[in-house]
Amino acid sequence: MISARRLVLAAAALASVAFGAGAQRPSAPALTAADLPVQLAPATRQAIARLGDSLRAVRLPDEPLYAKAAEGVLKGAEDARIIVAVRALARELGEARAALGAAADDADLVAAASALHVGATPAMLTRLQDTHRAATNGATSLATPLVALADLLTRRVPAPAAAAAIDSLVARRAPAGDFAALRAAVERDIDAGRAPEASVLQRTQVLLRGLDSRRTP
Amino acid sequence: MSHHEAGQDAIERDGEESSIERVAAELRAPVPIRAEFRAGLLRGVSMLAPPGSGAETERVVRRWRLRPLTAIAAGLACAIAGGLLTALLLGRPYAPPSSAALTDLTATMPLPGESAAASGGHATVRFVFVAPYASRVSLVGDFNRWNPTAMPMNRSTDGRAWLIDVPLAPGRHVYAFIVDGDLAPDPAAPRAGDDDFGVPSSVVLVGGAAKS
Repeated sequence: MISARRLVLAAAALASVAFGAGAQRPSAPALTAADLPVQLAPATRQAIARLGDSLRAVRLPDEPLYAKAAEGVLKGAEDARIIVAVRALARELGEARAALGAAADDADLVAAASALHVGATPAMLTRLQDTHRAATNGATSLATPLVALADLLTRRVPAPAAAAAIDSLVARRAPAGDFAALRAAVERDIDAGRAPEASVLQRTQVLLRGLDSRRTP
Repeated sequence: MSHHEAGQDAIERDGEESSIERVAAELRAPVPIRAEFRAGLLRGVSMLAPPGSGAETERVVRRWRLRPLTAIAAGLACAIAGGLLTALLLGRPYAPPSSAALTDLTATMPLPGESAAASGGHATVRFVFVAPYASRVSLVGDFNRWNPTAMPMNRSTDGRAWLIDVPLAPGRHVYAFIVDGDLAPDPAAPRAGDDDFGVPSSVVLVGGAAKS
């Protein structure tokens, strides 16, 4: 029997072909309210467009809202659920700005909003931002640590343990590959039945020792 | 009741009893059986082994005991044959990638903050999905407006993985794969935390290592 999800995907594909939304371009230009999927009801499109206007007015990125709506349409969500998700994202973008400050770029804000969505607190983000500034003087993006933090939280690592692990790596100026390695190792441990908190603690210590050994002349 | 009537009753009772006895006698009388039939029947009975003993009895009992096992084995064989036939007719089923295969390919996946050759402000990111038995895989994400037809992936030369190179603007991008019609996150990439619609997605960062 054909699943409902497959029917939704097939319908989305047909609608995309029929209306030319997101034509065969390798990387489409920035999304605007005009790009909202035609499958959404006019009232839903208007509501999301108004939210986008509100974000732009305070210099927050509005493109993630339209991408979120398109994602919801592809995944077969109803309009009401899409609006709830878009409103939550708009609110989290505002909280991320408050936590990271006006200097945060769009990638940092979106990554921070994602971390807030899965259980990070604004205080954790602020502390991470402070550590990052002290360690790198803002020379590198905070998005990589934030993405790793969101991933750990998604895998049910307790928020204080996940934030402490990421914070310690940021303080030691760990390269992006170390955050990826931490994420992958914790994922493997959890799949093998290990407790998430114990895994993240032990894996972080291993990475910190590796950093020390690489930096020791 | 008069004597006459009483005599009549007695006569009728005697008549009924004699009729019953006559019928009963007829029923008790042996049924006439032809001599050759009776002889054949007796011959057949005499050839049977006594019940509960003998090799023939054991063989019959064993055969009956084995029949459920035979039926189960036949059912399993039919199910396996049906599954193989269905797989052949409907295309090879999707098999999740093994952890060994993922380990092999993790090095080729875009790591957060890392990207391939940069050009014109964009960086080309190679997306890889291990699905040797899939018949169609495509890439969807915020960079193609979650359009399921925009980025069909190509099978690798060894047939194990599906690949596509996509120029992406700097920033955080959320994406997923569509494998034979079903959405799947990238097992080799971080999960997007904001899975609001029940199906997880993945994240790739472009230009995340240094401020753009």
